[in-house]
Parts: sequence; C-alpha cells; structure tokens
Amino acid sequence: MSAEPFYLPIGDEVALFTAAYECRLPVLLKGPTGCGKTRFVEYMARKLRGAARNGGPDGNLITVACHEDLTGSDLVGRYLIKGDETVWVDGPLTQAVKMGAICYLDEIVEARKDTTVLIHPLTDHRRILPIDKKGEILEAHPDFLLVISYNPGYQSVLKDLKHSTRQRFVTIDFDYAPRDKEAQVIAHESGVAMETALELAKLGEKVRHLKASGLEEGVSTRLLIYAGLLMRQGVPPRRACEVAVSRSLTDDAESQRAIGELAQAIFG
Amino acid sequence: MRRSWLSPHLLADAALAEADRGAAALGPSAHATLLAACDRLGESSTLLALRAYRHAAEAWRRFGPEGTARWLALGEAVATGEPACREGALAYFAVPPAALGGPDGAAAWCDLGRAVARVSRRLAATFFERTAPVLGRPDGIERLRAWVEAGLGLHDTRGWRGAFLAQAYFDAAPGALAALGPADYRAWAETGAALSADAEERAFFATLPDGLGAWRAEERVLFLPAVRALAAASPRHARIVYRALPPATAKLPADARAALLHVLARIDPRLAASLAELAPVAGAVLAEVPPAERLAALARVEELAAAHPEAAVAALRVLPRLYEEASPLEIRRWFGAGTAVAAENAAAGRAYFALESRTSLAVLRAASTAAALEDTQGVWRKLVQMLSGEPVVVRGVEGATLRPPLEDLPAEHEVALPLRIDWLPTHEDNCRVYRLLATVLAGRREFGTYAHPDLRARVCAPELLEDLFLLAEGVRVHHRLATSYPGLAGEARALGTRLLEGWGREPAPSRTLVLDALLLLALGARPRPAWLAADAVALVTRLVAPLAAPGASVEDALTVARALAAALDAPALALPAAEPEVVLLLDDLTGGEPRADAGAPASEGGEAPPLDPAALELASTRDDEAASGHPLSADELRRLLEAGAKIGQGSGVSAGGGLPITALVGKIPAAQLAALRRALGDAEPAAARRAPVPARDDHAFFYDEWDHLIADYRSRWCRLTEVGLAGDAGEFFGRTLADYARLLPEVRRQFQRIRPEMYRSIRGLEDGEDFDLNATIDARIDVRARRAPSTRLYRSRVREARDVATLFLLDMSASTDEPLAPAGTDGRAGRRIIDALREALVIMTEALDELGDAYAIYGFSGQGRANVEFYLVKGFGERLGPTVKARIGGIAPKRSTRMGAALRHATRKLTAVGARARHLMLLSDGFPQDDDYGEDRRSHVYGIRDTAAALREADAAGIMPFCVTVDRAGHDYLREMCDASRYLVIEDIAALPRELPKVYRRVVRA
Repeated sequence: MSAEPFYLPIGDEVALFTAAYECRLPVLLKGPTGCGKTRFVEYMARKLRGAARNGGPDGNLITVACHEDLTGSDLVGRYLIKGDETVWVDGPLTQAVKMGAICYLDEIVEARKDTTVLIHPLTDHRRILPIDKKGEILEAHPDFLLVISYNPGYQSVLKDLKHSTRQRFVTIDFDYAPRDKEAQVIAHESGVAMETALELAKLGEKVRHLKASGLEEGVSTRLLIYAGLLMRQGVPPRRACEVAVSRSLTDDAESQRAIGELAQAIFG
Repeated sequence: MRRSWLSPHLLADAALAEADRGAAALGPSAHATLLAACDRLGESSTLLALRAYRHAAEAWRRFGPEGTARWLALGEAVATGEPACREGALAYFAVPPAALGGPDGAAAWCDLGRAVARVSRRLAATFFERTAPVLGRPDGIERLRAWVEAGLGLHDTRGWRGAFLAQAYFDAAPGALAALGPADYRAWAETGAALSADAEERAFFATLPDGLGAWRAEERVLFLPAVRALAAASPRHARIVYRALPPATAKLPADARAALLHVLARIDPRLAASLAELAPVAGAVLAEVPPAERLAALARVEELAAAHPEAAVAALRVLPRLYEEASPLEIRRWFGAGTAVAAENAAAGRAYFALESRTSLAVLRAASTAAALEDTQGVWRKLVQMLSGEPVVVRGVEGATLRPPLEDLPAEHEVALPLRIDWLPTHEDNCRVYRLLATVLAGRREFGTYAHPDLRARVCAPELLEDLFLLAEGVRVHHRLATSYPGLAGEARALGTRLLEGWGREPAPSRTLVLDALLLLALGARPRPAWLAADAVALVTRLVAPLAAPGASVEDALTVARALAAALDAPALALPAAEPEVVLLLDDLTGGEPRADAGAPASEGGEAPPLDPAALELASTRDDEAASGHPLSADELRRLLEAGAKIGQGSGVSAGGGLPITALVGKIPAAQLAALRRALGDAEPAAARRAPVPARDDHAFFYDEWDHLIADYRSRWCRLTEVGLAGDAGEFFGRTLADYARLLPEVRRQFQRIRPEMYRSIRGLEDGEDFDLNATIDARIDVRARRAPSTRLYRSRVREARDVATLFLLDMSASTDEPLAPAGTDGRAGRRIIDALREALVIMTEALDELGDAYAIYGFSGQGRANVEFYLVKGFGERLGPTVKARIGGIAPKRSTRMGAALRHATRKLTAVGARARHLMLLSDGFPQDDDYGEDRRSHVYGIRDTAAALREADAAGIMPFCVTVDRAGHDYLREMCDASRYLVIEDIAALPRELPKVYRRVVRA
C-alpha cells in the first residue's frame, strides 16, 4: 500500500474539492506548472477514497498526461490484435468510468480536439461515455469524477479552453504557495533543512517577480524541490540553482545570469 | 631769437618748455647747436622740429655731441632723404633716445625703415611707429631685420593684396614682434596670407592666438606651416585651428603639445574640417589621457597619421575613452588591429578608430577589464526587480560611488547605476561592485528608504546632510541585506577591503571617496587609508553602530546623519570640500531638467560661484570677433562632449565674452538651459552621423546598422522605441468591411481552402488508433502461408496543423500620404497610399482569422537614427478585438523610412514566437531613406545595403522575409535587397487590398 501523498493546503481547496466530489461535479484545476495540482488530486483521491486495494492499479485515481497527439482513442480504448484475436482494450477514461475512479486529465488543452467530444457528455447531467467503435454508451459509475487541469499562462492564443468546455467544470485556482508554506513543501519533498528550504522558497518568490519581464513562467515549486534534492546530494547551492532553476526556466543568458546573481545573494 | 617753430609752443606745452630748459642747461654752445639742427628740421616740418627738440637735450646727454649729431642726421635723412618719410621721421624723433639702444642701433633701425620706405612710405611710417619697443632688446635689430624681410616679402609676392597684407602685418608689430621669434615672422606672415584668402587681413594679424607666444620656437615652427597647409584646403577651417589650438593646449606640457603638433603636421590638409572640430577641445581631450601615456599615445596616433590620416583624427578624439577602458598594452593591440582594418578599407578604419564599428568595440572590450553598464544593465535591472518586486528602469550616470544618489521620484522606478566601473583589476570584480550597488538600490525599496515621500526635502540642507544620510542609510540597508540574503553578508566587507587597498594610494581623495571609504570601514572593511584620520573613522563607526539593529528605520538613519553632520563640523574632522559636479552629461543639456534651486548662493564648501546669467553668452565662431580669450561656441561645447572629455574646473581670467566653462557647475538654471539648447540646436551641426545616440534609455532598443562603406556594423547605431497608436473607435475597420463586402466572402473561401485537413492518415504503424485493414489482411495471409507476418497493422491520424506566425511590418513614412488618384476619380475622395495599405490589412485580418495563423501587425517610421519609431497595431498575443481594430484605423503617415532598424526589431519579435514557420512581410511604398541614413543623403545605397543586411539577418534567424511594395520603381532597388522570389511589386496600389491575400496564400507556407 503506497504512502499517503503529502500535500500542504494553502487555502480552501480541500474543502472545495470535497464539496465538488460529494456532488460529483467535474473540477478544473487552474494554475501554473509545478504548483501542486497533480499532487493535490492524488492527495484528495486518497483522502476521499482511501488507499487502493490489492496493490493493483489504483482504483481511486487514473491520471492521464495529455499531449498534442492524445486522441479520443487513447482515452477511450482501441482494438488490439493479440495472437489470432482482436481484443478491445479499454483506455484510461473508460476504465475510470467503469470503475468509478477519479480520472485526472493533466494539461487538457494540449490534447486533440476530439477528446472534447468525450468530455462533454461525461461532464453534464448525462454522465455517459459514448464508445463509437463498440457502438456502446457507457453510463458512468456513480463514484466517477472527472478532473482536468489547465495552465492559462502557458498556452498560446490558439490553444485555449473553450467556454463550452470550461463551463462544465468547477474551477479551483492554484498558485505558488506563500514563502513559509512553500518552504515546508520543499523541506518535506527534498529532505533539506528548513533553513535551506526557506532560502529556496525565497529564491522562488524573487524569481517570480520576473514573470512577464523576461520569463514566461515563474519558477515552479517542483524546480525548487529539485534544487533541494540536488543540494541534499551535495551539489553546491548555487550550482544546484543553476541547473534546476535558471537553466530550466529560461534560455535567455541575461535572465540566467540575473537569477545566478540572485542565487549568489541568497546562498553566497 | 624767436623761432617760428618753437616760440609759439613754449608757453602752451610744458613738456616742450622743460625740454627747452634742459637744452639751455647744456650750455650756450650745445643749445645753439641743437637749435640750429632743429631749425633745419623746422624747414621741413614744425612738428618734426618740435619732436626732435623734445628729446634733443637727452640725446646730447646720452650720446654726446657727435652722437647727437648723428641722431639728428638719421632722423633728418628719414624725413628728407630719398624716399622721404616724414611720418617715419616723426615716429623716429618720438622715441626717447634711451630707448634707441645707441646711435648704432638707431642707425640700423633707420636703415631698415628707409628700406621699407623705398617700397612704401606708409609701411615705413607704420614701421617706425610700431617697432621702437623692440630696440631695447639685445636681439632687437636682428628681429627687426627678419620682421622687415617678412613684411616686404608679403608686400611683394601677393599681388594687389600684398599691400593690405603687409600693412596689417606691420600694424601687428607691437604684439607679434616680441611674442614671436625672428624665425617665425616669415612663416607667420605667410600663414596670415594663406588664411586671409576670404576674410579681412586685419582679423588674422590683429592679435595672436592666446598662448602662441608662450610656445617654444620649435612648436611654432611645426604649427604655422601645418596651418598654412590646411589653409590650402580650407582657409576657414584652418583659421579655426589657428585660433583654437593654442589656447586649447596652453595647459598641456610642452612635450605633449609638441607631440600633438607633430601629429597635426602629418595629417592630410583635406581633413581640415575634422581638425577644426577637434582643435578647440584638443587640450581637454589630451588632458584626460594619463600623463605617463600621453607621449606614447600621440606617437601611436602620429604613426597612424602617416598611413591613415583620417583615422588618426578619429583616434585622437577617442583617446580618453580608450584609456578609461583598457590598459596601455591593450590599447597598443587595439591600434594594431585597427591599422590592419584601415589598410583594407579606409572608411572602416575611420569608423574603427572613432569607436563606431562593432569590430572596434569588440576588440577594445575584449581587452578591457572594466565592467560597462551597457553590457550588463539588463542583468542588474532584473536583479533589482527580483529583489524588490518592482519593475525598474536603469539610468546610467557618470561617476561611481558606493552611495548611489537618492531617487528624485521613487514612484517612477528609475534607478541610477554608473556607466562603467573600473575600480578593480578584473572584470568579474568590477561586476561584483555592480551587484553590490544593485542590491543596495533594491534594498532601499525593500527596507523602506522611500517610505517618507518628503525624504529628499529632509536631507537637502545642510549640504553635507544628504551625503551623510547616504552613508548612514547605506549602513542600515547593507545590514538588512546581509540579514535577509546570507550570500551578501560578507560581500560588502570583502569587496570593501579590496577597494580600500586601492583607494589608500589615492594622493588627494575627493569627498565622495572619503565618504565611500567611511561606509566601507563602518561595514567592517579594512585597512583604513592613511589619509583618513583614525578618530574620524572611530567616530563614524560609533555613531552608525545602532543602524545594524534589525529594527533600525530610515528615521534612525536620518538621526544618525544629523549627528554625523554636527560631529564632522569640527575642523580636525572636516571632510574635503565637495567637488563641483564637473561632469556634464549631454542629456543634461539636451533633455535634463534644471534644478528648482538654481541660482542659490554658493555654500562655504569652496564650490564655484553660482552661474552668472550675464556670463552665459555663447560666442560665435567668427574669427573677427576673436578677443583676448576664446569663448567656447555651442558647437565647440558639443564637440567637447562628443569627444567624451570631462569638463574640469580651472581658474583664470577671461576678458572675452562667452560662457566660462568653469561656470557650468551642476545643472543649469532653466533660462540658461533653454539658451544653451537653442544654441546647440542652432549651431552649425557636426556631421549628423556623429551626433551621439543617448545611451541611457532603458525603454529603447539599440540596434547595430550595416555600413557598406566600412564593411562592418556600426555598433548601437540606431535607437528604436515602441510607440502605441491612438486609434479611432473602429470606424475605419467597419467602413472597410462594408466597402469590401463583396470581396470578403471570396477571400474567406480562398483561405478556408488552404486550411489543411487537420489530420492526415498514416498507415503501417506498429501502434495506432485503429486497424489498417489492408495490412491486417496481408498479415493474415502471411500467417496462413507460414510466413512471418508484419507487425505494422495499425493506422493513425496525425495532426497536420499549420504552425505559422506572420508579422506584417508596415511602412508609415510620410510618402504614404500621397493620394492614389486625384480626388473623385476613383470614387473615393482623397484616398491615399496609406489607406490602401490599411484596407489591405483589414482584409488580411479577416482572412487570417479564418485560417487561424498567428499574426501581428506593426508599423515603423521615425526621424534619424536616434529616433526610430515602431508602432504597435496588433501583437501576437492579441485577438482581433475592438482595440486592434481601432489601432488599424489610427495608422497614419509619419516621417522617414529607416527600414533596417525596423526589420531587426521585427526579427526580434518573431524570434520570440514559437511557431515552426515564421514569416516577415514588409509592406512599403518606397526605398529606405532617412535624414542620416548614410553620409550622402542623395544616395540610397547605404539604406538599401543596410536593409539587405537586415533581411539576411532575418533569414539567418529562421524567418522568411517577403517585401511587398507599391512603388512601381521597386524593382530597381528590391533586387539589390533580396532575391527575386522574395519580393513583389504591385503596380496598381488601389488593388492592394485584393492582391495582398493572394500574395499571402502564395508566399506563406506552413
């Protein structure tokens, strides 16, 4: 049985999600990359549904990382040839619908538009999943919940979530945690001392001031955790910040150098 | 016996009566002899006799009877001999015998005068009238001989003008005879003749340039022929050099001046104009070169002048900057590299040595250990923004201090950093100083320095208080920074120790240096410089100690500053006098605002007196107004500043008008600033291409420009700013849609067709969405036939998206204001080229919305390389909403067409877009042109070549440029700028709205 995922609540997101879950309202998590959306869903799945049984595939949560080649078939399922037989294999969405799991589609706008066709009937009063290739219409398990995530700052103008889709969801906004809480997360996830975690959180907070002035996105908590992990392995702090933060964040030499100067100011 | 020439005057003329008594006192015989001689003179002229009689007794006493007789005879010979020159004789007898240097001297003088009289009596009269003072010198006669020879030479060899020249020359004797040497007279005379070609002779000969007389003879020997040589090319410019160089170099050591004159002698006279620009500031420029390096620097320039004289003039101007930025060894290498460049291309060499080309700057900076703000300001701006959480703009200031000035308007988020730092021996260490300053500037924001809006008012008096507040507040902010950012904890101390080690060697530290040192010492740096009293350091350290507490506030710092001010009042602890603000920024003159307290009385700190409005009179450059001083003209002042020379404070008396440069202290009062601005604007402009582009604007973008003549880029040559467009309320957009209501559906259909099938089927995959039936059947057959079946049995639909971004760059030059046709003939009154361009864009936006390609629209115009304007119509991230539609309506003709800079900025925009295919579509109505787009404004070659270079750069950046022009003559230059497949000339401008979508469909590929 896997350990309970660590998640530090920032606002009222736990209560909101719990309420939405009780009503089986689809949830949209909106926020920048690496701020804890996926971890939140894992945490809530564990909290609301308990630990997965038999150590098998998690019956609580099925996560799909969406990408631009993700099609409806990838979500619903397809026929595969096994030996002499043609076998239908359920996709992750179908599995979740059948099992009553929480299906989490991460970065949904990246997926192809034909996935929208599947989302819409699942997220309104119908709660059905049409499987055209089998000629079936699957009714969702009562425990089924669809959760999607979306990073509004990242996508280009063309890749936007249409209102016909976004208005089917309850939206919970995420952002990077305040310094002290983010430090707790960093300390927990990376194992560095709280003092170092606070410095990393300070670095993150300061670097985020550059958003829209040279950086497309602020530095994610994930990258700060990576930096912490590297430091715990003995990598010098400035070098860890260089490889985990500045070089991951931007290719602009000037911005990289400025972040390096900041790291030097914080870590010496 | 009554003498008619004497008696009537004895009563009225006391001096004559005295002379008569003197003569009588010699005794009857002597008296009679004198009277008899004067009687003879009186037969020619009463005045002559009177003049002689006045000094006769003295002559008798001095020369004796025979000598007196000789004296009288000489004068009589001048008066009555052949040729007779009575005025000369009058002047002869007017000279006291004691001043004649003896009868032999007198005789030699008269011989010379009579020789002059044989050429011209008038000249002879002038000779006698003006040359007597030199007779008393041991070399007087030698001088006179040379003087006469030169003067007569002028008279005889210059045709009809010779008489005028010679007259002016002889008139100049009182000043020039003594100031110059015998060896100079001829050269000076000939120089005067050469320079007087188009101006009155008197102007040259009337006065010598200040300081020329003090030069050594060998310096004049170099200078005068060089000026004469310049005059052959341009008398006007040679005159400027003649007048300006001696006073400008008066304070230089003689050897440096001589070395400069050697350079001057080597320079091609055709460069007279350039030398005329440089001459007034030559001394100031050289004064900025370290004394130990001056001769070596000039030797290098002289060597350069022998081979590349134009480059040598440019090199002279930039010497101060070279020595600021690099070491002597590195400068030698720089000269070497530049000489090689000049050998290949003279124009490139000029640009190299003027520090205008990219190559030149790259070579210099590779050699320099100084940190320049220009190279790193983006880093510091971002650092301040990250630390403080506020976006800021960085302004470069001259002079570096560890206590940056308080911001006048903190709400404007403008921070000041020094333009360069070269305190420490390595580039990295100098960057550390920048980091320290940037953190202080951020720390002031983070830790509440500007919490009080009236902070500046509270520290402005007494004068020392602000300096001490900056020290105290600096201590407080440093401690807070050290607490919040552990990496900074020891930085001030470590860096400070290194700085103090160097500063300790300063022979005469300024107040700024002293206060910076006190700050470092208060932060724990060591050692204490010897010029800083131990008790002063102890006092300061004790008083600022409480500011290390975490709770210390800006109020506490102010309290400490007041305590410091009171404590440092004691004479023993007094700081050096505040140095006057000796450095003027060009933008202080052309864009800065005057202080509100201009004209306040001077403080006791030894500052220069306040500006006297009456003294602010910018002199003209006309030679005939040359007075004893040489006032700086507006153009000279501009040249001084362009050369980068620092204007130091000196002392002296200027008899002339004009603005003593020493009176320019701090900022100039508003009225005088306006006068100076007007004068700078009205002054005969230096070549516009040398007008400096202000480098301090953090909102502007600076782009290099390709100069085909030097085959190199001119570094940071153009300054471009992004400008918003005021739009209409979308009326134009709506009207255009209505006007083209019939065209639009067809355009939309056309664009729908080019919109690809979103998905393309790919077969034969090992994994996919569905079975590939054909492959599956084949596999089944293979199984039956006992052959190994293929595993590629699936098919998938691959996304086929157009990933295109296009930037439309619109020429908004004044020529687009031209009408397409006379009003009424095309059914639409007053339709102009710009309207056709705008309509075409409206159609395109509709089409592109259908297609889904990302696109942006910008316009460009401006005037001059310092003012290229880039107008935002629609950015890539913007939708075609009311704002964008309004901006399209606001597109209007502006000014010039500096295409290169605009294309480079457009390339920069496109580079930031993450599309697979990026296109740049230039819409223009003519060739590139601008005020200073190339040396010769009549030629478009420069602009065309630069634009071609910009298009190549876009290509190299992975962007596909395409030029659409409505200029029927477009083929003539577009084929020079780009390949034939990359441009199109649309002959019927009115058809552009119809044609542009077709062009787009053809050209823009996914």
